[in-house]
Amino acid sequence: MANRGTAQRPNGSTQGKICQFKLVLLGESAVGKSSLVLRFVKGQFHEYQESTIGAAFLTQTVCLDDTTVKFEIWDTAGQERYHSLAPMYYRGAQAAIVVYDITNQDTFVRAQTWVKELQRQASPSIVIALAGNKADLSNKRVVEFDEAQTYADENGLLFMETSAKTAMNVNDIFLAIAKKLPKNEQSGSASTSGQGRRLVETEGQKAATGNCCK
Amino acid sequence: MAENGLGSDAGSQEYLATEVINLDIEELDNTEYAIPAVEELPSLESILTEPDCTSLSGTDDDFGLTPGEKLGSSETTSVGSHLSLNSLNKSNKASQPTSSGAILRHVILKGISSQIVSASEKVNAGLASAVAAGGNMLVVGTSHGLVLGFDSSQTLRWCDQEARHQGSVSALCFNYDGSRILAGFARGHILMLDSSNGKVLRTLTDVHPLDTAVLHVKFTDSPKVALCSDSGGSVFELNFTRVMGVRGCDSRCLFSGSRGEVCTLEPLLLNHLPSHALKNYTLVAMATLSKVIVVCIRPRMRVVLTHPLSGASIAPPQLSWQLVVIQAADASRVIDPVLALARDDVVHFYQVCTEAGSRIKLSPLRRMTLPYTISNLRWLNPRSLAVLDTQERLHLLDVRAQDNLETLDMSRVGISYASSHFKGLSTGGNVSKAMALAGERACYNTVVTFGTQLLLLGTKSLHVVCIRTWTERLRHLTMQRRYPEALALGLSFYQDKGKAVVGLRGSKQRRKQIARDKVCQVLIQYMEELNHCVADENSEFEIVTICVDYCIQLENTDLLFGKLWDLVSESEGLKASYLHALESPLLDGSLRPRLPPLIAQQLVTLYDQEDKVDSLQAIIVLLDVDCLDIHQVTTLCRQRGLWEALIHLQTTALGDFTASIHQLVPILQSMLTNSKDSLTRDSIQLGNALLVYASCCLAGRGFPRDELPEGMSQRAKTDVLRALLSQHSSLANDTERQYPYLRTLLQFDAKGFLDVIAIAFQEPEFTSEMGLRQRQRLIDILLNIVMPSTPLSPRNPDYITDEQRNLVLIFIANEVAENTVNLEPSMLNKMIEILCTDSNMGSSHELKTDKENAILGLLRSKKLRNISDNTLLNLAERANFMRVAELLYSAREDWIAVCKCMILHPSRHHDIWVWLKHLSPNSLQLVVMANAEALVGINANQFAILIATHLQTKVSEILQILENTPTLQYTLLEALYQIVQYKEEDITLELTTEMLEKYLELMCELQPDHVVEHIQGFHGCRLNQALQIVQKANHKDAEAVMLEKLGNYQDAFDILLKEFQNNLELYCRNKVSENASIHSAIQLAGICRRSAGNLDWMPLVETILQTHSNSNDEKVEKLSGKLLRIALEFLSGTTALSTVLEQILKHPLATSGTIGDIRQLLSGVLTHSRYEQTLVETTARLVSLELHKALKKSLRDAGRACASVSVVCPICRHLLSQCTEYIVVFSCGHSFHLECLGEPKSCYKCLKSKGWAPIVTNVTHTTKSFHEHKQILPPEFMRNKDLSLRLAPPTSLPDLEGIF
Repeated sequence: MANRGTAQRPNGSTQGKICQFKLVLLGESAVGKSSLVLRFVKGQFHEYQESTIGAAFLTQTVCLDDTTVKFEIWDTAGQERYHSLAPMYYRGAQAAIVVYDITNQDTFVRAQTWVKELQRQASPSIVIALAGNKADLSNKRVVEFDEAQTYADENGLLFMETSAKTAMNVNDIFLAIAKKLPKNEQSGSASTSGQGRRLVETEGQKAATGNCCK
Repeated sequence: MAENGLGSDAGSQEYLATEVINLDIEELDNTEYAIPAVEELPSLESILTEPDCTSLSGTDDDFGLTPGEKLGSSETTSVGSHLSLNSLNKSNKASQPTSSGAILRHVILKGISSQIVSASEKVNAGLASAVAAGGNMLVVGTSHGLVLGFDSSQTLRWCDQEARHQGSVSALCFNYDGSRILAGFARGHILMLDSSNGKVLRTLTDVHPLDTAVLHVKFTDSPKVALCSDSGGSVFELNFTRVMGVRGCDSRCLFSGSRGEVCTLEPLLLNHLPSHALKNYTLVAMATLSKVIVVCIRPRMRVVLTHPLSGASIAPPQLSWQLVVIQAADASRVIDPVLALARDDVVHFYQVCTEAGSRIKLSPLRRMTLPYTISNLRWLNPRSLAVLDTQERLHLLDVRAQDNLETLDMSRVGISYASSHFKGLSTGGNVSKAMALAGERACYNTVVTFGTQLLLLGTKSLHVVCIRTWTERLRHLTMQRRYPEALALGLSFYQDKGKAVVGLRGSKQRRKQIARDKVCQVLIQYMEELNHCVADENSEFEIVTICVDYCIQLENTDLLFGKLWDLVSESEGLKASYLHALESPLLDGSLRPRLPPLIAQQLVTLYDQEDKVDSLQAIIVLLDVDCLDIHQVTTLCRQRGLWEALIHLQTTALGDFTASIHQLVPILQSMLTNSKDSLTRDSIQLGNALLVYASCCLAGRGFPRDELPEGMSQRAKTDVLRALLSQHSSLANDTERQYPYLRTLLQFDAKGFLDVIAIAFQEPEFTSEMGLRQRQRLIDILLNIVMPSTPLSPRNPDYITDEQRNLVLIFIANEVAENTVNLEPSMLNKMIEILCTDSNMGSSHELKTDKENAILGLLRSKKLRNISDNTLLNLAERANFMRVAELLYSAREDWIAVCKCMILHPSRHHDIWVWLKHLSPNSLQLVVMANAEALVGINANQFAILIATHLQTKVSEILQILENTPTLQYTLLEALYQIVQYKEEDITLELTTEMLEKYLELMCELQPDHVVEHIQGFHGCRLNQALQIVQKANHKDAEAVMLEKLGNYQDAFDILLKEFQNNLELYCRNKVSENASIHSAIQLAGICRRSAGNLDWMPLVETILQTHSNSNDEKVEKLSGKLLRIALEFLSGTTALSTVLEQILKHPLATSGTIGDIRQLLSGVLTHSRYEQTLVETTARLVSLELHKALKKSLRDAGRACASVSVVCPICRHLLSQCTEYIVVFSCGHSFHLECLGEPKSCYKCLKSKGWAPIVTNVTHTTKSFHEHKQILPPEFMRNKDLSLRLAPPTSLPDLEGIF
């Protein structure tokens, strides 16, 4: 309790800058978005994950060299009736993960339409990652790795096949996004008016310089 | 004594002066002034080298340290101070470190102070006595006539010793540019010095009378004009001249001390203003002890203001000018000088107004009363006044808010007072006592302002007090860790409400910005307290709450959601108090309903844990949707039953209006089926939420508040209607009946739901042509639900109760009546039947009325043509719907039936009479005949009026009808009799004798108490007949009255006497009360009186005496005494006392019995006669007194003179003197020619203006005629000279208790 004030971060990093990013997960229903996030944030996996209503919000912090990256993750619901909600979440987002199920061709098609929508509607600097989930079920695979890789390359997306069940590539894809995100200028926070917020030195207790992230 | 030592420096001439002073001082009480007794006279050196003065090298900063204190205490021991300057002797007062000092900064000018001390030590300069500052110089005058000039770095530049012999320096003044100094001296000299080198430029020796000390010297705006005042109280204007290089000076007396002594003067200085309307004028304010005079010297001498002053004699008057920006009523801003003038404890403010081109005017602004006596008053800035009170405390006042901001104790300064100058000690002390007293606390030249600083000159030190700048004040507070105060102060700066703000400049916007930044810094510092303070939890929570509050007030969300959140988020307790602190700003709207998602999520979790569901619901509804974790919130709302929040989320987040109905109505249904009898709280909440939601959507409004976005309302309406009218729910099983949602809502609250529909029907969606079709559909569906083809058992979950069905039917009937929907006739029939039959069951009265109204509505809109009258009538009568029946009957013109219906319906009773009046005479007659009994029963008076006006001829027939019910007949007769008695205007009714006799007869039977009263008045009966009636009724009292009326006094007397005897007898046996006997005695005596001697009244007396003698019961004796008195009372008026006496004495009782029996009676008679005699005498005295008064008044009236107010007759407009005849003068002062006045002779003018005027009755042909001359006459009753006394009729019984 006593030393609580010394800004001890969950990851123990007490130096460097903190960046905060808004990340949104999109994709057809039942492709494993919530499972993916749950694995990343809490390291858990539920076989029968209840379907998300509207959108759920989670946060996770990762360390990258000397930078602390704080993700504000919006896990949107995949059901068609919640489609109208999605723009609200990707509008101010700096990163998006579009998820499909490698055992279902339709979800891949749907993922492609999500990518198109993002490119058209979201902020131009948004970092988009494509995740082919349920990689543990590769025996039932329908969408080929190469096919997706090609598509990703063409559209300048990050791409990985992941498995929330086995935790394969889950942290990697988030780290990859964190690396790719710009961390040195204020565009991230300025463009979203309060969504991604200020970046302050951890040692900010001493004479506040008022000068954000140098 | 020490004075000699002081004076030894001076020449022999001054020795004389000191001698004089010496005498004065000799009287000083050594103990009072704590003057140590000295064996041998100490030399001046020895006094000055005492170590106490060395302590001046104290701090230069905020003090509160002892040096200053010592300085003050040292003063008291230095006896010399008593001569030149006196200081308040507050030697060893314990210094109390005040917590104030947050606004005022108190500094000792160390350099100058030490110079003063060393000057007094080394060159025998004496103590400091006056100070002035100007340009970049500061000069200090001493009690030995030295003037020391210091520069801004506190180094001594020059020392002027020119006037060493002129006593102490009493006044100093700089001119505007700081190049010249005027110095006034206690012995009357005035010097003009060059401030750069201290050279004397002018020596003014003869500008004011000799032997007066100079009290003030002041430069005006003009460099050539100065003012001075002396201890004689005079003021002089000094005009400096320079002729051929020779400097000279003319003086002119402005104000002579003989007219009041000026204590202080203050010219208005405007040099530093680039331009001002007042620049051409030179204003000087002067204050004597009793008033303040403001004089304009240039361009023309004129007095602008005088203001009286009062106060304790010791309080010196105060004047101070300040330029203030004044916001005029029309929002324009002017810079005007404001004069603060004060004495004792009252401060007045005057504003100088210059209306363009016109004269100068001083208008009062306000008045302030302070709880202390003022000894000096100076403006520090346009909003703040520094006031030094006689206890040497310095107060900082905010002028606008009139409050005391801070108080500093200044006793350490040892302020040097100019009392010796005022007393004129150096010039022989030829001053008035008042002046000397007022000077006791005068420090005009030692407490002065320089810019916004206040210079306070102590006898050995110089102190400066100034208002801290706002940043300093904040720093001061934060340094002491008084963060909440610092924040409050900062917020007041930010909100532009701060007081005595110094140093905050720029436009309003800019000021706000600067203040905000600064306060945010303080806030950050305060937040960091959280890290360091390891103290108790509570203070931490407090810090969090305060920080949240200020973040919000400063509108700094970055800080709120950034740093503060980071600080609190790691401790559960702090986080909770942070989140709690957010609630109220969110709800009252001071915080925008946007939280970072993480905080919103935590808030929801916290409130869920704490079971604060109501607040939670309010917050969810309020917050923007995109900062909520919808998954979390939705799940929570379902668990907790926060239906409003749930519906809100679904509509605003998803834009889905049907989902709520599809999901929630089945929940409601299951709740209803599970708890059949009573509704649970939860289900009521859900049901109400749904109803309100449906209503909002159907009306195109947002739920639960606000408006729907543009274009959404249309969709909301159609979506919700479609959802409500769905034939089956989404999860329907086979047994589900049609329209489950409508059914559920009807079951839940039929009335509420119908209201929702009724409101929706007003929307254009239901009034257009398409809309009407929609409406028809909805009505059909409702009908289907409530009138199923196969009736349901009450156990069926879809069963609709009778009440619900009735409500729906009423609703439909109203719709049909309004012509908005159509129903098939058969359906309509069925509906009417249900409405009429069901009402037999115990339904509420309200419902019955509603049903009746619904049917009436249908009837009026002629929707029931298909149903025959008879059936309808049957139904209505069965259901007891009298108004329906009434309507039907009146359609048939069956008035009697209509009337019956109305009679049956109690609420229609008051309508009957109006209705009856409008009937045709024939039908009226029929109706009245048929319903007479009932109508009389309802309101006999109304009925009586009715027949009196419309059916006079039928009165007897109507009475005939009522023959069987005497009560009713009697009430009717009574009402008729009343009408006859108290005739209403347009009713002429004659009652026949038979009727009146009948009335009397019935009265005897029903209300015997009223009979006597009735027959005494107008009864209209034949007397014999009446007597018979009364006899028949065996009403003795009435019979007696009738007999008396017939002239048969004796019989009446006998009857009454018998009655009286009975009563007495009964009384003796305790059967009746005393009053009955007294009453009958009075009656008896009355009849004796009225018969006026025709009657032998002895039996009465006899009876009374008999009772008296027969009984020995004390009670009875007492009564008989009373009775006897009554009898005497009555008899004495009519019969001479002698007769009475004679009669009594003749009486056998008197002759046979002992004298004791009648002694009482006799003594009664005698007392009575004595009483009468007194009465007569008193009356005669009163009468003559009144006569005297009337005479006096008349004489006075007659003696009063009348003067004419005008010399012209108001009627003919000619002079009154031009008249041929007489002039009439009224007592009101108006006069007329006699010939001009018409008849009647009354004052024409008063008649016009007041509306009435007395009429002249005594126009005699004399030149003066008195209006209303009262003829002096004795009062009316005295005119008859026959003053033989007669007895007045008996009034109240005089209290003769105990005589009998």
